[in-house]
Amino acid sequence: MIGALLATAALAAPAPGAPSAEAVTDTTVTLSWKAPSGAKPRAYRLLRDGRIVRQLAGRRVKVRKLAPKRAYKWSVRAVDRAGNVSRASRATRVVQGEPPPTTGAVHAYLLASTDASYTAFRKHYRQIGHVYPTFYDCNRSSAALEGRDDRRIVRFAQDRKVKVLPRVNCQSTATLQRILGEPALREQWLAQIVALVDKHRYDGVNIDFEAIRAEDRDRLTSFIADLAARLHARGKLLSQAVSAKFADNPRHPRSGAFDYQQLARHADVLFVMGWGVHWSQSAPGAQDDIAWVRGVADYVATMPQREKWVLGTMLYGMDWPAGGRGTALHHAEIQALAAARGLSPVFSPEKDAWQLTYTDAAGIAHELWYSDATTVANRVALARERGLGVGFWRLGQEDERIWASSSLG
Amino acid sequence: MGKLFAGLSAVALIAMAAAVGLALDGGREQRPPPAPRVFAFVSRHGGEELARLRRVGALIDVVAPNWYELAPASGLLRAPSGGHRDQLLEIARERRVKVWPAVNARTGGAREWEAPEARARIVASLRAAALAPGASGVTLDMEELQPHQRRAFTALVREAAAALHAADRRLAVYVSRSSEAYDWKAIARHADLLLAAGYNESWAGGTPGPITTPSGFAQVVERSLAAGGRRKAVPLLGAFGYRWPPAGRGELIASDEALALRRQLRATPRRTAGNERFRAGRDTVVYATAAGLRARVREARHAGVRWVGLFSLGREPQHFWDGLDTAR
Repeated sequence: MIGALLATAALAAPAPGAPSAEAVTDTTVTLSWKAPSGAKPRAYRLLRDGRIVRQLAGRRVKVRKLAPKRAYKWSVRAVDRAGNVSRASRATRVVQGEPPPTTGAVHAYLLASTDASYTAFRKHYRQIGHVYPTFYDCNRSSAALEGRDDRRIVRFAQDRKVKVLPRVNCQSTATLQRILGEPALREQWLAQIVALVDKHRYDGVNIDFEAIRAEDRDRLTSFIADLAARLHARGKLLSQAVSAKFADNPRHPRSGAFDYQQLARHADVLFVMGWGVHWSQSAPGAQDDIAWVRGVADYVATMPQREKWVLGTMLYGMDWPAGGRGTALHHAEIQALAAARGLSPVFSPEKDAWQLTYTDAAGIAHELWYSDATTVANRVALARERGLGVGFWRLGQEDERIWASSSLG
Repeated sequence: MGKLFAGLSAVALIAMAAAVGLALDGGREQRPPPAPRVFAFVSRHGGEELARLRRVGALIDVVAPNWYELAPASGLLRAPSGGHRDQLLEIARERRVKVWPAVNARTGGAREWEAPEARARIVASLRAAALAPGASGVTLDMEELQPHQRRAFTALVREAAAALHAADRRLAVYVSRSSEAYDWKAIARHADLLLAAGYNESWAGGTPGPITTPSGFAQVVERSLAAGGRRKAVPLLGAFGYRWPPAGRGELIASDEALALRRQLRATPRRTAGNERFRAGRDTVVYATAAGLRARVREARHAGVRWVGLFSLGREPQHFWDGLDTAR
């Protein structure tokens, strides 16, 4: 009986005015409303799509962390001194704005399996024009194309006008020999890639085939030409990662398969992996010795359609235990290691790279080489000077200060 | 009268003239010269230095922590990490003190670094140091140069300044008071600050004596002003002491350590030219006093400098800062 009376009292209390919205951005809105007639309420309850999100004393509030482009219905209820809650005001429908689009042109790989990479992308997307999420790989046993899309990443990027070209990765010599050489498998791959682009509405695709036999050079070019034709017919883009070189040696075991001149006729973007002088299984050393990178940039700058070429820079470091295989480390991990062990990094101006040496708890000597914002900026400047695009492998492992560089746009 | 003035430097004369002018003006108050900015080396990185920076950072414009060692021939740069570096950066950020880390290079008289490609490596390393987190410039302290390396060193400074300015970073360069290898004027043309050593009139390897004398410091003030002008000249005060054994090299000690030792020994000091001297057993201790250092700052200010430097923060007498008027 008392409950019914209270309910009646509450229903009888006059509702505040409908919220009016101002300063609507992609993620925020400022709402204000008129007080109900009668006694001044003690508080107001703000409702989003019928659910209470906040109680406040005033009649004006800025709401944050809203989803871009989404429509919300906002209403308010008044709470009087006795705790009675009024009827809800009329609802106001507000559509959040478009997020600020990218103004950048960087080509950046995004490791889809880690949040760190996506987090870095969200933070710095305005400097990125093309993102290559690592969605798809070859199965080394079956030679099948496997992987899965991640809507979060694609939606976030495309909402902000960043072109999404998922990476299709295969770094198995034998598997690639089959994909490029067996007509049925080749056709299956081509059709499947195009189908994925269609299905998920990607802006294109990034092909990252590595460790290809030099003998498969023409087959690789043919595959790229065929794929480019199919994608272009749909208005989509083809980007390709290529091994670095500073002369064309068709027999070179690593870079011989990449016929720069021919590939540039078909692909829209050629991402030159500007590192790999030293690698995990080699002796320790600077992976992207600046003299070597300069040689690569000079050669790439002689290629036709220079606007298609991107000089890729690695953002990670490599830690080699004596006699062992190197482990890739993020910049933050390297800084933590140096701080924890009280190490003094040594900068090599000749290689334009940083080096750390230490002995671990097991008595094994380590040699670690890495880049920082300064050395990355030098490679970015080199790309700019040669008229090449700028690319990074990969987001989330970098020295955060690279993004402060005005040259990234 | 002429004889009386002959022993005085131009700086002392300017200071005297200012005092006379004040008297002739019938005691009417004249506007004092602007208070100087302060550049301070931080040569050690113990808790004392950090505590001092926390206490007096608001009076200091630039600190040069002693972080980097550079091998001149290869350009290899040994850098610090973590620990005190991060703490110093945090305090400097809180106190809004600029950090231009010191890059120390001892050439040992070697000549490899003179080649243009070697200089380019050094410049790349200086740039890397200046672009490190929290830094807005770099301080080059290159020593053991030979007189015949004068042109090469000037070229290095010119190249370094160009590279650093292109990266929106600043360059301060240390110059010795006695070596002919430093072309003060040419260096000041390119560098942002000319750090002119106004100390070590008596030094660790010599006989005991004052670290800085008024006349010696006045000469450095005068010479640095002539070379770099008011905006770039930074006469450096030797704010520390030495403890000399009867034979062998003296040991550098903080002024406050020397003072504490004197009190502990109840030694009676001999006061000379802003320094105090006493015996500690068979050793001789000489150290800069707060009053003496403040007097040098006053004289330099009246001579027209806009900067004074300190070698080094944490080694100076703590009372040096009491009532010191600085530009910040």
